[in-house]
Amino acid sequence: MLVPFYQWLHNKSKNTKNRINELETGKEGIIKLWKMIPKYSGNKEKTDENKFQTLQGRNSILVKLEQMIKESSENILVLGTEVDFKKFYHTEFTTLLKKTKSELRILSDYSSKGMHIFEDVPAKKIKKLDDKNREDFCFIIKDDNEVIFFVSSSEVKDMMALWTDSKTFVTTLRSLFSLIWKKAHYIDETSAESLLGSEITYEHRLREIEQEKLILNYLQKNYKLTDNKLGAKR
Amino acid sequence: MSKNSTIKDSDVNSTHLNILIIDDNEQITKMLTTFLELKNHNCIVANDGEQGLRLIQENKHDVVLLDLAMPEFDGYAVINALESKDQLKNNKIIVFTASTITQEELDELVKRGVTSYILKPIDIDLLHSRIVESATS
Repeated sequence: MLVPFYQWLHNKSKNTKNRINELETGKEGIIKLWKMIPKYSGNKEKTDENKFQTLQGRNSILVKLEQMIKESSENILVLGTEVDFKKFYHTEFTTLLKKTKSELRILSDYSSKGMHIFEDVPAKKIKKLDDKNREDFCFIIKDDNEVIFFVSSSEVKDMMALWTDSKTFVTTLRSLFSLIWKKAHYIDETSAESLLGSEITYEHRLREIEQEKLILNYLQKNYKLTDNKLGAKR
Repeated sequence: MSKNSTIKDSDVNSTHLNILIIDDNEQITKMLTTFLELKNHNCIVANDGEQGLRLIQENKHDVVLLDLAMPEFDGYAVINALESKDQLKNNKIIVFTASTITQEELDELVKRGVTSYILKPIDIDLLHSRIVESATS
C-alpha cells in the first residue's frame, strides 16, 4: 500500500526515536556486557622478563627503590658513592635498607665525614670502594633479578635511572659487584690489615691459634695423636 | 647462656650427634673433627659459608658450629640467609668465633634465633659439653 511521504517520514522518525530510547534504557546492561568480554593479551608471557623502565626525577626513583627493598627476600647489593647516598639520606629508602632482613652488602667510598650516612648499618656489611673503582656509576641489585642503575647526564637536570629485570643486565652488574667486593676491604679494618689483605684481626688470629693449641694438646695427651695423623701443618 | 653445664658427664659422653662445622680455618676443622669423632659423633665440614648454608638446607644436623669471620660469605651471611627463609630457629646453630664481638651483639644473635655462642679459645672438654648441651636442649 502506498503511504504518503509525510506519513512515511513520521513513521521513520518515530521508529528511530524508539530505537534511541531502547539504547538509552539498555545502556548500563550493554556497558556491563562489554566489560565482561576478555581482553586481548597479545604476547604477555614473552614480555614477563626483559622489562626496562626509565625513571626521571628523585621521587619516581625513590618509589622504585623503596619497592625493591620492601620486596627483597634474599639479598641487596648497593654500589655507590657517599654523594649518591646523600641524595636519599633521611628517606624511607635508607630506613628500609637499614631494617632489611635480606643479606645487605654496600660498596661505597667511606670517609669519616660521611660516616653518619651509614650509622645503624653493621660494619660487616660495608666495604670501602677504592679510588680506582670510584667511577660515576651507581647501582642497586635486588635478589639477583632486578637492578636499578643511575644515569648521569649533563644534558638532563633531573636525576635519571634505568630499572630492568633483564637477566643479562643483572648478571653483568652482579659479576662486577662480586669482583669489586672480593678485592675491597671492610670499613672497620685497620690499614695494616688492608696491607696484609686479611679480613681477620691480629687478635682474632691469636685466639684461633690458641684454640688450635688447646685441641691439639688434648688429642696428644689423651689419644697420643701426632701432628701428622691430624694432617696439621705447623 | 648458662655458663654452668647442667648436663651430666655420662650423658655428654654417651650422646651421639650429627655435627656440621662451618669454619674457614682448616686446622681447627681437622682437629675438631678428629676430637668429636673420637667422642662418637659424626662430623661434616664446610670451609666456607656458602657451602655451609647449602649443607644446612640439604640435610638435618643435630647441631651446627658456625664461625663468623670467613672470607666472602661469612657467618653473618649464613644467619641472615637462614633468617630470611624462617629457617634459623629450626636449626641449632652455635656461633663458634674468635671475632671481637660485644656481648650486645651476641645477645642480639641469640634473640634472632641462634641457639648459643662459644668464644674461642675454649677448653676442649667444656666445648664438648656445650655442644651436647645445646644440641639436646
